[in-house]
Amino acid sequence: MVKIRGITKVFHPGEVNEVVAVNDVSLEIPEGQFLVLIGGNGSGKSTLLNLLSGSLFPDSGKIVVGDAEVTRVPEYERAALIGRVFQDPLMGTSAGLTIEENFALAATRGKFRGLGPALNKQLRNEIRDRLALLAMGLENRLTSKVGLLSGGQRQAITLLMAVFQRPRLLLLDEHTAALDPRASREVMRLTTVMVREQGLTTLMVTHNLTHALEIRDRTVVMSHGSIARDIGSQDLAKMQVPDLMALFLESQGEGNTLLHRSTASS
Amino acid sequence: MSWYTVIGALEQGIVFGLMSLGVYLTFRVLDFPDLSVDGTLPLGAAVSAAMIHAGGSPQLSLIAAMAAGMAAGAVTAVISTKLRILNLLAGILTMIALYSINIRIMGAPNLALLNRPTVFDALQGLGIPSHVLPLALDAVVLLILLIGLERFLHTSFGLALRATGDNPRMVAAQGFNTHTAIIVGVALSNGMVALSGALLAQSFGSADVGMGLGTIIAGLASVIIGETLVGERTVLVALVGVLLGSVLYRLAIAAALSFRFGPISLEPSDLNLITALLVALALAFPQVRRRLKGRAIR
Ligand SMILES: Nc1ncnc2c1ncn2[C@@H]1O[C@H](COP(=O)(O)OP(=O)(O)O)[C@@H](O)[C@H]1O
Ligand SMILES: [Mg+2]
Repeated sequence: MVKIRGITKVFHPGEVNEVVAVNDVSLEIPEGQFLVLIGGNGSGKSTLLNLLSGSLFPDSGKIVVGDAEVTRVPEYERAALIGRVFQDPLMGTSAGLTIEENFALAATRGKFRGLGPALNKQLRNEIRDRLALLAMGLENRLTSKVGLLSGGQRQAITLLMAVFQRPRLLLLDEHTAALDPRASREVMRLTTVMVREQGLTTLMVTHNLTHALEIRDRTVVMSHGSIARDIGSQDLAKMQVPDLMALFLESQGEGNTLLHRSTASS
Repeated sequence: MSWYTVIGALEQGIVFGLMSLGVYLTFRVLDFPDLSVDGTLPLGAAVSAAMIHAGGSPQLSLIAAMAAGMAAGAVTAVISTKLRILNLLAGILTMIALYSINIRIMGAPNLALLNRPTVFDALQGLGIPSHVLPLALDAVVLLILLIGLERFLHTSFGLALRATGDNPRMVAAQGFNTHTAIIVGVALSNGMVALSGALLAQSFGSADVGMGLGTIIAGLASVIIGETLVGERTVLVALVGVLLGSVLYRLAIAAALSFRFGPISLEPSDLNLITALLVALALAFPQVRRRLKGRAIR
């Protein structure tokens, strides 16, 4: 269960380039819900995720994950509760470390990192088992440096790392957008398998309405920093991509959202 | 070049190898170019010399020197992370401050250790020729630190430290405070540099406030030569490469100094010029190699 109560984030307050990126947003995500977040460019989706992960602190409002209030908890502490995959496939892994070393970092997330060896046989076996799920042959390349892998492979690894220890909240920010169509489909397939299997509470941002409709749990549409639509599973069950597209366009106001300042309310 | 010069270069390569491992840790592992080493090398020398001068144990003085270096490194890292001052500038601030501090520690700009005990005395009478004694002991210290550093970089903490230099956002997302990694890493690095300074002072028989000049450049040269020659497939390969780089760098300098071409010969005062040229060459080498390779393909 994740509770967001009236959070607001303003960039450059009081200056000419002031942007209200997230404007008094409240949202409750029940345990195990797979929520899809869509919205035009600059509508505040990434900022909302950054506020949840602790990369940014809100100006006002409150964030609760599970039974812990985390509003002002720094990102590195909050990470014990949160798994995260970024849009940039290079962002989630360390290129200079080997595959198994990256996983070792994920395996100690939220735990004390001392002077014991980071890897042991048991952990290696577990990493190998998880990697086998990808069917990419990576389970035989544990000691390859991650920098040698493709974007799709790195993103798949980032996803496995994010769920290596069951997170209370999984944040996915357009995590398939930078991948080629095949890798994108593969990572999306893996995402649904992981989320459903572990019953993870998930917040996924996507621009891909087909992906959005593959998950008919709940879809929230953001516009100019606010929640414009909140569509439940019953409504989603009846929808096709064009229906969602129509709702999306309607919620973003007139014309191209790119041309609008996010402060200009519609 | 005489045999004696070669031994001398080897010895310097080994003592400065210790320092170069420290530079590798900041420059390459943490991606934190740390200039405080120009101050922490003489700091280690000053602490060790002052302690021995006051009748302290030469062995203990090595530990004290290392601790002082670590404290100074931690100061640089805290200035940079907590006060958000650019890392290069933070290092320069510490370096400048240490210049005054080092003179305070020694009570003078330099301190001689003539007829004073050193760590090398303990090895006298083991049948090792006295002129290779420092080399032998330094090599043992270096080996211990190399193995220790290699092990450390494979611990849970060490992995987080390595990833911090690579991708700090990822490290934060994996629940580790990158400031902690930087503070510990830069402290360790400067501890090694100061230890190297202390050993230098004891084998030279003196400490001098100016002895740190160009430490960072020499360290960087060793790191780059090592990378160019052996690469960095694994942590161990990279660390051994740094040592190899350090020895080759000192040999290159010795060779350059013994070079004679008709009436032209090089003086010790030309050392800084040679150093700068060597480092520029080492830095340019990967670029040049890439271009040559590109040409070969075409
Ligand atoms: N770090 C930042 N500094 C200043 N403005 C920002 C920053 N991050 C985002 N913004 C602005 O906040 C608004 C929302 O951005 P973002 O959350 O990235 O939108 P989305 O992810 O929906 O495309 C945009 O107008 C963007 O320019
Ligand atoms: Mg975004």
